[in-house]
Amino acid sequence: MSNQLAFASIEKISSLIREKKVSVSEVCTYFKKRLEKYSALGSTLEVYEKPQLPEQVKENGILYGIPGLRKDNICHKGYLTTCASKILKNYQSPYSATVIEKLEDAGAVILGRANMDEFAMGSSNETSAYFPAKNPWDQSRVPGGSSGGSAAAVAAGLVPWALGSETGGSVRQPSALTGIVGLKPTYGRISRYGLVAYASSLDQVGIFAKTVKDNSLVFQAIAGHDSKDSTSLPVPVDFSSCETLPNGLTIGVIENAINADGIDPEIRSSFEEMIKVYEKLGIKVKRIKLESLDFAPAAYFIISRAEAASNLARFDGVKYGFRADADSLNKMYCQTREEGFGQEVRLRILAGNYVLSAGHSAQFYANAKNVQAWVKNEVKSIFESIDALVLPVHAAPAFKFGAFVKNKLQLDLQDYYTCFVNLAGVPALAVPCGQTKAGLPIGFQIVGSHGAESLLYKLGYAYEKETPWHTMNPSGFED
Amino acid sequence: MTTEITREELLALAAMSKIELQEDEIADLQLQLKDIISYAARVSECPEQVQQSSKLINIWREDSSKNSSPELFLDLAPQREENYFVVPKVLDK
Repeated sequence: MSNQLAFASIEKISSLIREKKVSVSEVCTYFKKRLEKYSALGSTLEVYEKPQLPEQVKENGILYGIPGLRKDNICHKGYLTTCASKILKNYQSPYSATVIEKLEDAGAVILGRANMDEFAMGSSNETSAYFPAKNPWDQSRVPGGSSGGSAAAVAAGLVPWALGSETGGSVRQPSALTGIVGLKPTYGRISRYGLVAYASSLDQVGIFAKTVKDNSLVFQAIAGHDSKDSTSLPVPVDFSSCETLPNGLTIGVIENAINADGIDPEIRSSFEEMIKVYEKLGIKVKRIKLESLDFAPAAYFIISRAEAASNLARFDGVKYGFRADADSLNKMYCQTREEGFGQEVRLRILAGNYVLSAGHSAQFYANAKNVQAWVKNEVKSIFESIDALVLPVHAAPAFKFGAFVKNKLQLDLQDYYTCFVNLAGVPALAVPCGQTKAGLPIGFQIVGSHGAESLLYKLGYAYEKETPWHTMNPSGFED
Repeated sequence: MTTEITREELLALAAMSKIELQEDEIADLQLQLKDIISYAARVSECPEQVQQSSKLINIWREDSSKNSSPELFLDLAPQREENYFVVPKVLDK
């Protein structure tokens, strides 16, 4: 039985459980053992010794008995939540995030916490204070980030789903680099209560799964209003099935995105092939321009760093977490933050305080908010005549560890295609659409208007049915 | 546009950010900060000036207490005494 479980879809595992061909406990033990067996992939910072299995009464739950991982910045009561940082190495959360409670209510089982870039700051998983997660397609390459551990684990079939989080592309980019499906929801669609804050006006919990349908099942379990999160949207969520595609849809291809400098020719050709699939499905394709695209990363850098500088002020060695020994309060603060934060986190705090400080805030912060307003307006007006947008997620396939040591800015620009979505607050779904000749995954993204997750799932599912990419698995993780 | 970050500016930022810097990382941080700030400066070349209308609404909730144990939270502190957090002395000599 177990050889049917690795890489099996949530649907498949659910039906095996329902038909009593396998028990919940067997499923969970099987995946827990897989996580332990392939620990060298670095995808988890912890696999729970005794995962909490669902009670029998939850057997009608949509994820009954389906195991998964949480990113290490999503709190789970009684367990460590470290954000892959030394400053929280001993932080045991006294409460669970709303998404964790909802998953448990749906019968899901949390098997552990996934590796990530420290405080979700990075695009390669190299800033984890512990060890980097690797890309299961080529372990000398990064899985992307910041939710790299979540992506690596799902891509290697170590779990059927995992939670991640996004501020500028941290779910979509690792999804694309590892060949799986990743959702960044509408801002406010999924509760952030219990997600450790990086840049609150952009942060969202996101979802990784092998297929579009599996991703939508996890979405069904966790989306919706939460009174504990004041930025949560108090409106109903459309959970209609991803299997029916409405007629008469028009998608917009962002022409300046595929013509941008430095895009890999293999990514470009996979993208053009993807468009042909949609045309064949009878969807109208319009070539358009998103003028603000080229300004979005600069605005994103400023807004995210500014909010990070404010949010991370709370890590002061007083209330929880690591504290350095020092003989005065100010020295204790400064040494705790020097020893507790890694260099990327410190750099982002410094950059944030720079753009917010007197003399700079008008030039940087105010102008960044202006660019954000431009992005929002432009995206909004595009959706008046177009149902969804498509563009690449990444300009190049997964890169080698250390590739950007000498050029950090290029690493930050991994967010080039993704961060305008976060600035606009709209949802986007990354879907695999090819492989390079060297066998590295390629992804594209579908972007919708506010609240359009169900349309994204429908479009993703329709594409998936016509293509083989979601059925491909990296070798070396068979059983 | 290149924005140089001087050593003094970096040290002032670090003090404001409550982060001690090691001597051997200062030059590297100056360089990295220069790169990101110089790139970010392009926001001032934005061709559009957008009227920003704030449609934000406050979300209110009742200011009511719930049953929870302060112990759960106080126990996380590196040092505590009864219901207080203990910190090193506040004033430097």
